[in-house]
Parts: sequence; C-alpha cells; structure tokens
Amino acid sequence: MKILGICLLVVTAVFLFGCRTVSYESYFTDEYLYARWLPIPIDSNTSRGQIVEKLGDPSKIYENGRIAVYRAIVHEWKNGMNDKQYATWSAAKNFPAGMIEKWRFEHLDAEGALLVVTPEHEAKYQKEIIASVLEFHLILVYGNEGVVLRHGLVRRQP
Amino acid sequence: MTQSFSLVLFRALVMWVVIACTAYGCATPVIKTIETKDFLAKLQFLEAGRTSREDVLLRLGEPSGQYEGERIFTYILAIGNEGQLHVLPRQLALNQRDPRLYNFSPSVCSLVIVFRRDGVLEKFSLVGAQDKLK
Repeated sequence: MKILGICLLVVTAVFLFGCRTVSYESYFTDEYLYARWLPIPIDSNTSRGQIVEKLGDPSKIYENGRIAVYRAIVHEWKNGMNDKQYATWSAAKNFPAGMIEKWRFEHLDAEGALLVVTPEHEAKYQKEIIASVLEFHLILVYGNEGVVLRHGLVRRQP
Repeated sequence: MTQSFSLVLFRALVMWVVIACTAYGCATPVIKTIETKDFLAKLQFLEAGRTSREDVLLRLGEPSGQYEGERIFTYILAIGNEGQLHVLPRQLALNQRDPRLYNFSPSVCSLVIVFRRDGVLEKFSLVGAQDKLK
C-alpha cells in the first residue's frame, strides 16, 4: 500500500508540475522588453543616427524611410545554434509548455542574446529564428528632423 | 491474500497510467468555427479612409506578406484560447506543420489590407486559412 501511495504522489506531482505555467504575455511585457532588450531608451529625442548606431540597419523601411521596422528575436544561443542543438530543441518543443517555459524565460533573461533580423542574414540565422522564444517588432516613425515621432512594440511569438 | 490484492491493484494502476498516457495522444481536438466577429472585435482600429499605413504597422508590426510595393499587406492572425489576438511570426505562417500552430488551429486567418496611394486604408478583408469564415 505504501508503494501505491508513493506512486500516486509521484504521478500527481508530475501532472501538477505541468500546470506551473508562466504566461507569455505576463512575462514579456512592453516595459520589460524596452528595459531589458532594447540597448537604447526610445523617446521623442532619439534620432535615427542613435538608433542605427545601436541596432544597425532596420529589417524593413516604409514610405521612403519615414517608417523603420526592426524585427528582433531573443534567443539562447549566443554563439550560434548548431545542428545538434537544433535537434535537441526540436525534440523538446513537444514537451508540455509549463515544464520548460519558466526555466527557459529565466535562462533567457540571464543568458539570452538579441538579434535584429535583416533580409541579408535571415537564411544564416534560420535555426535561431525558428527556435527563438520571442520575436518582437520595434516600429519607429521618424519626423522631418530625423527624430522619433511615434514608436511601438509588437510581440510575435505565440 | 492482502499482499497479492495490493500487487494486483498496483499493476492495474500502472497499466491505467500507461494507457492514459498513450491515449492522451488520441484526444480529439475541439473544432472551433472561425467567427469573423472574433477577429473584427480586435481590429476595430482599422477604418477605411482613416487608418494610415503607419497606424497599421504600429499595431501589427511587419506584415508577413507584401504586394504591389507597399499597397497590399497581409498578416496571419489567430485568436488564442483566452480570446487575445496573436499576429503570428513569419516562420509559423510559412510552416503550416509547426506544432505550435496547432494551439490556434483552426482559428487562424489571413488579414489582407489594401492602402490608397496616400497610405490611407482603402479596404481590408479576412480570409479563413482552414475553415469558412462566418
């Protein structure tokens, strides 16, 4: 009977562990993304030059450069993701989300890297893009003086 | 006698756990019909003749598809289980076999936006990806 009790306890613990989820939206708030992942504070005094200096070329421009979009991903593989790591990730992605997400978010916060994806190197970083925890777009609208008029962040990862 | 009964009970329990774990994979997903109103409620900022390209980009980010220069944008949208609107990343839009897409399927649709020459919204429509829209 003792064995039965222990088994039930273990099974219950395993099931409950899966319920220990961290909401994606509650973790990756706009405030968190601006403070943790953008290397420059963005406001109405920020110039195009300052942004390009910190983030590089935008992923896409619209209306002759008046609007710039930075497609950014946050991932854990600072030195690039090799085939073995990608295979491990592919196997792990089917685990119940709650079992790995909290750990992954915290690990990402401490060890992660930001990558601005441009059409030129999209193919090179395909594995990191697919496996990234988070993708967000920084949208910047510049005024005539080349300073930021409006800006916004849009999260992309489900 | 009691010991053997416990053993049988224990074996039955183990068997039940194994069968339950195996059968979990056979669980039939609940098929949700895509309702246009679910999406439209989240897209109220889109107004023909008023919303600019700038507004669209600030709210939805980079489009997953772009045609005729900057005249037509497309986005892959989904409604999450809690009713929130998700703009899906391009890798999910391109890879329909990505298991993460199943979380939303079949509540996934394409938003097609057409702008006028002056960058103001001319019209938009929702196209169901896997089901007919109501």
